[in-house]
This record gives sequence, C-alpha cells and structure tokens, in this order.
Amino acid sequence: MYLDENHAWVEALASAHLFQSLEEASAVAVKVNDPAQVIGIELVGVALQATQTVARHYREAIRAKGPGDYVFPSLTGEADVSVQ
Amino acid sequence: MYQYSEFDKAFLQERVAQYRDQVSRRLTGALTEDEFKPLRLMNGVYLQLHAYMLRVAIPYGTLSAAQMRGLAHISERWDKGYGHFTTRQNIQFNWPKLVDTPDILEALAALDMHAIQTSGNTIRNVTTDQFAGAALDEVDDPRPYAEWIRQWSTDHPEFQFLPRKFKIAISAGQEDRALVKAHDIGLRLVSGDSAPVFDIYVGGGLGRTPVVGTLLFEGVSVAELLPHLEAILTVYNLAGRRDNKYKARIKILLQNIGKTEFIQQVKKILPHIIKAFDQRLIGRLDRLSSDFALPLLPSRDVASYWDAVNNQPDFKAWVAQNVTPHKQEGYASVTVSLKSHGQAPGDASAAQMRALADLAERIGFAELRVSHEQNIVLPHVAQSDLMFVFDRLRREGLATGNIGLLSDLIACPGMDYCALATARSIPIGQQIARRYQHLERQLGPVKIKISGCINACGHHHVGDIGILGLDKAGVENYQITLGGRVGMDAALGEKMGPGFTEPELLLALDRLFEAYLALRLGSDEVFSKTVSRLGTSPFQSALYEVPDAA
Repeated sequence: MYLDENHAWVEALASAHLFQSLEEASAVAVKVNDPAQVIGIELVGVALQATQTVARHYREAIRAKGPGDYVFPSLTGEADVSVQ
Repeated sequence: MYQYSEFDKAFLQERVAQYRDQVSRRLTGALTEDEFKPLRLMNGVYLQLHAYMLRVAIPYGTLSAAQMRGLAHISERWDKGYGHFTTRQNIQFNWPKLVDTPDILEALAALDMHAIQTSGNTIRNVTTDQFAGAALDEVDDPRPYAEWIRQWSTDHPEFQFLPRKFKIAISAGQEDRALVKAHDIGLRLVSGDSAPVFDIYVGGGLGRTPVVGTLLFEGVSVAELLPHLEAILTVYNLAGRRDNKYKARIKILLQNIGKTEFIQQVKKILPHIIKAFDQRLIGRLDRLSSDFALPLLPSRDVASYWDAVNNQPDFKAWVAQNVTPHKQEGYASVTVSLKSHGQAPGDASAAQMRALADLAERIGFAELRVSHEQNIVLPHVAQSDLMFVFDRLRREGLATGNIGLLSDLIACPGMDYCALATARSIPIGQQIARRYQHLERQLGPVKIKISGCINACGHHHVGDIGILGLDKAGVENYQITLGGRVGMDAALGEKMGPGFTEPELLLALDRLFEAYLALRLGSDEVFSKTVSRLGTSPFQSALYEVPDAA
C-alpha cells in the first residue's frame, strides 16, 4: 500500500504521493503511523520515467508489480509431456 | 497414517478459537502489529513482501488424499488457487487475507492439520525420507519415530522459546534422502544388535553459517531416543546465545564449546531426564507403529507394464526417471514432478492437487508424500497401474520425466514473495530449466539449488551447482558454488568467485556445462563425479572464461 496526497492508503504506486524531501517524507511517515492499523512504513526511492513513477530498487519494483506471472501449464493447455 | 485422537482435535479447536480472538483484536486495533506478531507466528502466519503467508505443517511430508483435496479447496477459497510445497515438506499459501486465516486454520483442523510450530523459535516440522515405508534400503519405517517426536515436541512447554528455530530430520535408508547432516538434529536409524538404533548428528544446518552435522551419539536405543533429544535441547536452551540471532543456532554453540564439552553437558543431565521421563510417552511408539503399517499390497500381473515399457518410449523414459523400486515386488513409488519446464518449482494448482488426490485414492492407497526436493510422491503404486498413472499425470501437466535432472531444481520463493530475499530465485530456475531442456538428458543428473538470500532456504550450499542471489549495489547478483552434496558424505559447495548478473549467469552456466561435457570420462560419469575427480578449478576457469593453463 502507498500513501496518497490525502494521506489515504492506496494500492497503486502510480497513485502514491511523491515527496521531494526525505525530511518531509519522514515527518509524514511518523504522523500516519497508527500502530493499531499500520504494520510498518518504509520510504521508497522512486524516479519519474516519462510520466510513470517507477521504483528505483528492484525490490520495490517487485513489490509494486507483484511476483512474476507464473502460470500453470495445465491451466493454459500447455501440458508438459516432455520426457524424451 | 496417524489419526488424530479426540484430545488432538479438541486441542486444535481451542487453538483456532484463541487465534480467532487474537485476529479479531488485531483487526479492531486493540492489538498493535508488535503485539500481534508473536501470536500470528505461533500459528504459522508470516508477513511477506506482498501479503501474509500461511505455512502449513505436513508432518514428515505425509498426506492423505483427503488432506490434499482439502489443501486444494483452501487454495481456491482463500488464496489464489495454488500452493507452494517447500523444501521442508510443508505447504505455503502466499495470499491469504488476515481476516480469513482463522477460517483457514479451522478448515485445516477439520483435516487433522495445523500450522503450529511452522514458525518461531521452536521445534519445527520433523522431516524424513519421502519413500519412507516403501524404500528398499530402509532399516525400518522412520515415520512412526517422526510422529512420536512430533507428539513429544508439539507444544512442549520447555521448548517454545528456544534461542532460535530448531529442525529435526530422520533417515532410515542406506541412502540419506532426508538431509540429516543439514539439520540441527539429524537422526539416522541403523541396524543394532537386536533392534534398530539411532545415530544422532547435531549442529548441522545451512543458512548464513553452513555446517555439516557432527555425529555425537552412536547406537542410541529407541527407549533412550526422546530423553537424548530432550537433553540435547535442554543444553542448547540453557547455553545457546540469545543476544545475537545470527549466532543463536545450536551449530554455533557446538562450535563454541566443542564436541567433548557438549557431549559432557548432555551426559550430565541425561540420567536425570531418563529417570523422570514419562514412560507413557515411551510406550506410545508401539501403537504408532501400527498406524504406519504398509497397506496390504495384493499381487498384480505385471505383463501389461512390461509391454508398455517396451513399446512406448515416452512411458519408458518417464519410468526411468520418475519411478523408484519398492520394497514389495510388483510395486513402485512414483515421483510426480512439480517442475515442468518453466513452472515455479514446488507450485501446484488446486486442479493438480485434486488430480493427485484422485489418483492416490484410485491407485495409491490414498497416500501422498511431499519430498524436500519439492515434488509429490505416490509411495505405493502397482507396476500394472503405472501406465494409467502416466496418462492421468499427462492430462494435468504433471508427467514431466525430469526427476534428478537439471530442471528438477530447488528454488526458494525468493524476492518474488519473500520479505527476507535479496534477489529472485524462481525466474532464474525457470530460465535455467527452459534453456537446458534440450540438453538435460545429455547432461545427466545435476542438482541445482537456488537461494534468494543467505538464509539458504533453497539449499544452495549442498547443490552440485549452488546459486545464491544477492543484492549488489541495487542489482541482482548471483554467486555460484560447486561441489556441494547431500547424503552421509554431505559437503558444502565451494564458492567460485564474484557473482554474475542475471544475463551473465546464464552465459557462465553455458560455459560450465560445455566444460563438463568436454571433461567427463563418458556419459556415465555424472557432473558431481567429474567435479570430484578434477576439483573445481577447471570449472571455475570455464565460469570466468579463464583459458585453461594446460
């Protein structure tokens, strides 16, 4: 979940509020960190590529996009019978 | 299989009710995450990169068909329609919602299953040989002993807050298929003068400080096994470090105080433990043995089996790779690969789990096993049913005949799921499996094990080829080790040098396999033998493109 400009929690990185300074981000993180509702807050470094917000580190990119799209052969009709 | 008693069932119901209340309090905000965390972990609920993860114990990797079907149902109702079988013979659900976890635990309890002690600094699931009870080379079926230890260790009041997690494995075959030397305690059942006895290895483990277990006690009688375990754990519980979790495992204690002192400390308390030990627990083993009796395996005509082997090359190749001899003539154990080329190793869809449950009910005495190599085993299959099994598996995309080959690789969930990971494992495994699919029969048996961080859940230290994913200045970087092995001559692989980026890794492996094919004495010299014979040097040169001095 990401924090948007209204301090609401949203799922898409694209909707996240981009802070321009670490100090400001840290201060808001402390403010919204309600221990009854929040598990933990991390600040994520991002960059703007064209109009897209992308995470700088691959870990955060995976967190934003989810795991790889690992489909099951049986669900796609590509049953693997390669035994040769 | 062991059947839960009324006591067991009542115990689980109480735990579910207790946990339901804890979740409710967390969801209303009455408990903070810090307060809730130890409570959820006691019930196998982790927090991963994207979501909560529930790790469910599969005791010694044994499942009934009904339990497998129940896991399929859970995966569909509360998760994303699949589960991940792990290197410790458990199953993990990667996407449960916290609010649903009490219902999942209740559904598990109805299946005589739970998630207790799949996390935390306790004694974890006791693991064993996936062919237990069917293996030709075993001294005795290790599962009754594993169940006995499970009952002793579950909710054991003294061992709920150990310095660190504690893993026990039992092996009873000539060949060790349970990695006993890579566990905190590894038990090897061997023939004694009049009855099987245990050799006890202590202080093995992978992780950030990999150590091969040391034989501390030899020829321990069955009657004294649990007192020995209790004494070893008591010494560890009292003397293990609690100030630094990276130095808290029993292997570090053993290294620090030495083998002689450790044995002395155990022997000092052992007589008291034996004297005070609950004899009812000792006596329970006899009853457990009958729970694990081999099913009645009627004699079957094998003519159709041999006819199929001789006339159907696909079937013959699958049998050669995935079928293991059984202790009873006319029967075999089938390893169902969860590693079709490109699949996430160890993942099974709900449909696949159901198909396996159906198959087990129809031809496999309703029993299934999970192997530490993340495959599923049908332990007792008549040879005359193997063709039927092969056909059914083909329909479900489960007939990949690759057991022991390169694509039968182990990979931890890695950064795709794991909050601790420093790099991804699954896509590396997928790419390797796909890239060498055409070559893997020529390469022969090669064990590749991939971990996404130094915690080594992918067992990379003991792979013929170990791959460790790390974060190098914000880029995934993969280190290679060679020469690791499991078994009674277990050894840790040797780190070859600086890591590779993902594209470099595949090119390095190309050169490694090219070197192996050029250097082996013949197609019957497997990869590990060539590495043993020549040492790692020529392979290191190949990995780093260093011209051979010769």
